[in-house]
Amino acid sequence: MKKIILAIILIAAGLNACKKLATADFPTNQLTNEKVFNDTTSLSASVAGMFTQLGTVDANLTRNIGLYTDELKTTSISASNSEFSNSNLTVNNSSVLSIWQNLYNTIYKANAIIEAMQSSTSVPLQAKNSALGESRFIRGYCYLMLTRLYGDVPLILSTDAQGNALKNKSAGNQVLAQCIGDFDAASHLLTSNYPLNNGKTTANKYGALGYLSQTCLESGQYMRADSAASALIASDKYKLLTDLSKVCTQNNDEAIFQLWNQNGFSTLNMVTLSGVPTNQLTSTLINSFTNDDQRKNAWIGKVTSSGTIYYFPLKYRQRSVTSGPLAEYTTYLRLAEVYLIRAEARANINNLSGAQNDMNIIRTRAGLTNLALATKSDITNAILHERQLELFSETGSRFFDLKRFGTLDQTLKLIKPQWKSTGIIFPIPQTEILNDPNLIQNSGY
Amino acid sequence: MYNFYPKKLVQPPGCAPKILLTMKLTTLILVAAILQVSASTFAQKITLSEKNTPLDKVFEKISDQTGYDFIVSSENLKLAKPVNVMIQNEDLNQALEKIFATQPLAFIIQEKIVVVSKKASRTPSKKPDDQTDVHGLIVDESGNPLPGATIKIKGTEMITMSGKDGAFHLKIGIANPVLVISFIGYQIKEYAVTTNSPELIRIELMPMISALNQIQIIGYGTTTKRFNTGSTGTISASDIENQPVSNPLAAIQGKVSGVLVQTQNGLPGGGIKVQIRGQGSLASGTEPLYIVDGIPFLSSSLTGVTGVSGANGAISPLSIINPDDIESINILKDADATAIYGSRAANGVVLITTKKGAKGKSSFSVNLSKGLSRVSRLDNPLLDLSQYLQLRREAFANDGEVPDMDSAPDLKTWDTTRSTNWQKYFYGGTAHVTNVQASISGGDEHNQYLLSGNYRKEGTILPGNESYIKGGGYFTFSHHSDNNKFTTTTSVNYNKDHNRTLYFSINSQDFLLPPNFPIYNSDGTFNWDIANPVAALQQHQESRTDYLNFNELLDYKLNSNLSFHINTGYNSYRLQQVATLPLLSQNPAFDPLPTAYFGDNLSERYILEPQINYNKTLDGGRLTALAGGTYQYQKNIGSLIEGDGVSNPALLGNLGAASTIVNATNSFTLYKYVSLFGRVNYNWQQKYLIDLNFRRDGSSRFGPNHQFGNFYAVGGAWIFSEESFVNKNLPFLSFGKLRGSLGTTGNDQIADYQYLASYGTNTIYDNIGTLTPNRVANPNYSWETTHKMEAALEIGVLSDRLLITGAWYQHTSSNQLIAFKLPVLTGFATYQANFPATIVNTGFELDLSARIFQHESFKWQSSINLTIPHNQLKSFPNLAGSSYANTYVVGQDLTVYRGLRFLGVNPQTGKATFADINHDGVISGPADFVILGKTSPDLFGGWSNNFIWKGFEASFAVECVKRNYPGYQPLLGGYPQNNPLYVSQRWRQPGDITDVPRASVDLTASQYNSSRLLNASYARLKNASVSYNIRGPLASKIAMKNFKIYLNGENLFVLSNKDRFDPEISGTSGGMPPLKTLVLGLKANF
Repeated sequence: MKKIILAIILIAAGLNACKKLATADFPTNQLTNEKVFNDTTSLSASVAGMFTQLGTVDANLTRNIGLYTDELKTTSISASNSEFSNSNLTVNNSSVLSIWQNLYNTIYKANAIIEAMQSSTSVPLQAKNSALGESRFIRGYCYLMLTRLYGDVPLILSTDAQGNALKNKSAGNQVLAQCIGDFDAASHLLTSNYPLNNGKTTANKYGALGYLSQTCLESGQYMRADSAASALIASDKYKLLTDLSKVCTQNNDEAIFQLWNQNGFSTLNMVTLSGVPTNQLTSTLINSFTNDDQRKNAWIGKVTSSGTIYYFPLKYRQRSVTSGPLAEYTTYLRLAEVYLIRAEARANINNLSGAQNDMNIIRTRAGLTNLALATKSDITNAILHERQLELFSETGSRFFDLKRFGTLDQTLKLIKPQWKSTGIIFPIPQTEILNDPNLIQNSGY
Repeated sequence: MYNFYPKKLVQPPGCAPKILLTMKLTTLILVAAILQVSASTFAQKITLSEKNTPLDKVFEKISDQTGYDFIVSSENLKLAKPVNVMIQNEDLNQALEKIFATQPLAFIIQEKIVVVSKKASRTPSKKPDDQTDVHGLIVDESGNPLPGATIKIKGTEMITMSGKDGAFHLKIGIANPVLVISFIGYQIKEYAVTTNSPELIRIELMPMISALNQIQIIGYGTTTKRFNTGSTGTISASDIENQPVSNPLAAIQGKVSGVLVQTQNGLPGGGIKVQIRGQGSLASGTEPLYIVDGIPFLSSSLTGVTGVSGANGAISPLSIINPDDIESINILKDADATAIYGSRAANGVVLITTKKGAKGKSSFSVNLSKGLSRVSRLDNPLLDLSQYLQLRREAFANDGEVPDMDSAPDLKTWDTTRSTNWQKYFYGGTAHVTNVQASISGGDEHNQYLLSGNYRKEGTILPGNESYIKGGGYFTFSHHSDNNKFTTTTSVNYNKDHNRTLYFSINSQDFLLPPNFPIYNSDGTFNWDIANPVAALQQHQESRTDYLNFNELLDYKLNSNLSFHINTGYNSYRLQQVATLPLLSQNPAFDPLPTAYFGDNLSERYILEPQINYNKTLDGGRLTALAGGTYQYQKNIGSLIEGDGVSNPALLGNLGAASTIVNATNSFTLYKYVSLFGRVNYNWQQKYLIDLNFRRDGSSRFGPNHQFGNFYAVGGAWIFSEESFVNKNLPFLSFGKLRGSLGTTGNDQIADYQYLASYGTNTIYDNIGTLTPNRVANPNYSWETTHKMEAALEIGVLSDRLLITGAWYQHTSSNQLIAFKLPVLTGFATYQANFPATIVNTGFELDLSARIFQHESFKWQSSINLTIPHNQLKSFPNLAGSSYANTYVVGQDLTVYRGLRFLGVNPQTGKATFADINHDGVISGPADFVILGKTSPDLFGGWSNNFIWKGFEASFAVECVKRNYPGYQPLLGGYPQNNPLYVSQRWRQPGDITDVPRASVDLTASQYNSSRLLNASYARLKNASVSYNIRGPLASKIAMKNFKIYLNGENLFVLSNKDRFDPEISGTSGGMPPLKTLVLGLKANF
């Protein structure tokens, strides 16, 4: 009996030594983090993974922000949609959470690549710079969106998930500073080439400069916004298209940064195949166009149903996977916007003629006459109006413009009875408040 | 060892006091020692050198060298003379002859026992009227000695008991005595002693035909119901045989207490959920551990990540096993029975044992059956066409709205005179079932074999040409060496099936189509005014399963005490699937593409389990011990590919024809498992039993420092009916046992690799494959732990004709493995971690079995099982802040059902009114939700009966479950969808007093529906069978041993209210209920 017990103890001891027996080999369909970042092919696959993740943000973003301002209305009834349409969000709104979640997911991926590249010795410098540049571009973009939408947000710059779970918020200007740092670094790390398949589906140097100028506007650094936008325009890499109907086609000359998508057409939420459009443009927007504006014809669709005319966005013309070879990508940044950014920057540093020139370039392309305005405020107001016409239904820019020009409150007060001035930023999703004890809800929610 | 066991027994007055002495000489051999000495020691060669040694010491030495035992009375031993002898390497017989040459004693070698008696010359010759000196040995049916048997002399009060070796000795003062031998669990036997009786009478007892002696397979061994210290439910081949089921799990439904078996989908291959003693886990699997012939089997479906789930849902892996190949299914429940399976045993263990060959002449058997299957109930009461149209019109009128072509195609566009019974349309088919089984078995003392083949074909009750075909073969062969020391058993089983079904899963939402829904437009195209399930019938799914199980058992008996055992095996299960969705079957408004899904999943595993068994009669009891180890390796690989844009529908199943491969997902998991286990069982005098189990497990599912854990259990039993005071006072009690157990088990049913930081593939981006981080790795989690406790009382009365078992259990599950919530700003929403929530499952189980009639001509056996379970979430720190806040309530059942509290229908407005729990003036969930009940059963059980009258045999079994479930979710006219008939009792005008709110196009009906938890209790006639057997001379006339003709039915009738499509199917929309099947068959043995 004693010997049996002894034998059991001995085998038990042996068993512990043979821990190997209870350790599974590494799964063949996964890669260790080290392996991913030691090989340039898998490195660029993980860079592409960031862009895939970024693509999931837009499924809600563009349409919902359009509803939130004076651009869009929808026939699709849901709790989330009606909160956006009324510009009166609640802390449990599902889209508020998913936009937040997808942006932070993308940030995690960017941070993972940045951490790996900073410690990597085996990746060739060119590939390393490219991966670092794309990651910092993506991170900058995500934080720009986050702070525009949610105000002060936690600044997550590492992959330590358990540690980050207790983060508190950083001030908005700190977040913008981080964005400027990221875009600036990206503009130096990246070249004028697009690293992935040579299409515009990833960022290059000019994409970084474009967003750098956008962020600088946001934080009031007008000189820098002007110089970044000028560097982009001066490169002569991009041209305004004369055919307005093609501004969202893949890799067109005007596009600076686009996101690839599987079926070659964009933002399913914006597309209506037939009948009454689900997402319609508001009369506010329609009435803002003059009839000689080419953009009204090129970018606004019109259907008549039961005697009523419905308008819908038509920047993306490919209505379905089977409707022809024209392939479109989700367009994030194009040259026209860079002109308008520079116009706004120049107006703010009192280069009024330069501002008007840039604005008139866009007006000319739209078939409109040049404006000759005298005062800075007239010019900035004209730029805001021009942005409304040029950039409607593109990644929510109307909301950010109204905020930047300080006219959001007065604009939405008139058309949204439930509007409260605290609506200038979204609520932090309630589950985040529950799961991160250091996170404080935004005021008004 | 040398022991005297004087036994003082009740003596009749005037009878000379007798002290029986039995001597047993054995050695306690330790595992290590035996390995060295076994070969030489038991060669039966003896070497002795004795000078004036007492005879008993010599016996002891011989016993040490040979393993033979000696039986000698103390009286005879007194006659013995000291021994002087020199023996060099001689046979036992020669040696004994030398020793006995100078003794007044003689010896006989009987089996492995040397019986010593007085030399014949010195004993007075037997006279009929003289004293009879009886030496005897009591053995069981396989020749093992039975200690403790009672030997009475008929007509006297004389009594004795057999000793440790089953031997006894009596001096009887009467001629030709008749011995009456009785022993617990064995039939009473009489033996007449005559002058012709041998010196040593060998009396073989046959086991009593009692359910208590039924062999129960337990972890790494067997026991009987009588001596089991744990809780085990057993289903035998004869229980399965009467049921025309395709999945063996269906055969245990309603048969075993504590085991809730629920059909999840009644179509071939459909899932069957087995839950043993309640849900003990919040987020991990609650499936039991399935073991087929010693090899762990898949417990959950492979149609998970990379599979295709069609009309039959997630395919149950066990459906590939042929029920007719199964000898028994044993279900282990408590700590004592399950702890030997350690970290996988928290949810119980289901041991499936296949049939083996038996010695005898070759026997050939054929079993053919043919029958029909239908849906169990097709008359669910729904509104008819006019009632339906009235409801819809009323809904618009009540809300002051005018129906138009968009909101009411049923009123405006469709023909309002034509009506279809959609229940019959979708579910009304009859499936034909054909089942063929053939087997040949036989063998001799050394070799036994069994070869069987099976084929099953089922049609479908669904519209279309679906079918299910399953077939395969099973072969098993056993060999025993000449000296019976070595045994090898090889079993190979190969089955495959081909399951053709719909991709589209039809449920009650589909037969709630408006009665006047036109399938086609006037131009012959499908009507898409609302979702068209008839178009979806064009979507098909095919699944093919290949199953191979190879099992090898090697057993070597070193001696009567010690044996070595190796179980090794391999099994593989492959599921290949194709689902096709032609363009025609999809709503053109969503701009669909012709699409096909291709799933391929392989799961394979091998196992190696060496084991040492030791048993020994020790201090008047029986010690059984085992020690063993396990190494298990399991690999699952799978892929799912979506191919779009096939131009020709006929080529849909061909991946090459797809214009785009949209999504290719693959999965790979490797699971390794290593452990050490042991058990010590001691049975003292068939009265007191103790059972200790231990297992140390290492599992690759856990991080590098958390792979190993220890599990243990202790079980004990007291068979109090063996106590004389119980015997005296409660003579009607033939069996009584109190047992209890205590121990820990674990649950590791989580995804693999959660401890590993890694990247996996994701969708393509700009034509290159992308990589994405998989998870927040946590290396610090380990299994869920369930502490199990049980106390039970087992009673048999009237010679075990009535057996009653009552058991109480408490399973406390803690260290819950959940997806621990993270703020998503970290990049991930959850990570795998242990969480200190506690779930307590308690319950009471009652099992009753009775042989009500047991005449030669008429027999009736009946058994009842009943379970009253109780489940409670005992604690959950910070539940409100977790993702489970709206799912669970501390102190309540895990299936707690919350909804609005319905306060009735306002007689003035006709609107449903609800309690405003938070007094905010708005009725909305979950803020206004109250606990309405739970959906787990309050009680479940079964009642089985078997009748035999002459050649006729009949049986039936009923399954009952008492529980609540949400029912149909009527939309009360808010949408073109039919409603259950009770909606016709709705409010129509002010003043109406009713429970059903008014019709309305406003979809507030969902609030009303969320407030309704309905009685979903049912009693189902699970199976019924009638058969007629032709045996004996009549059968041999047709050259058969046995010929049987039978009619077997399954799920023939269900008693329940009709608020749900089927009371058993979970969910509100209702999947396919279990089918009712009736087959006519014949079975012949040649």
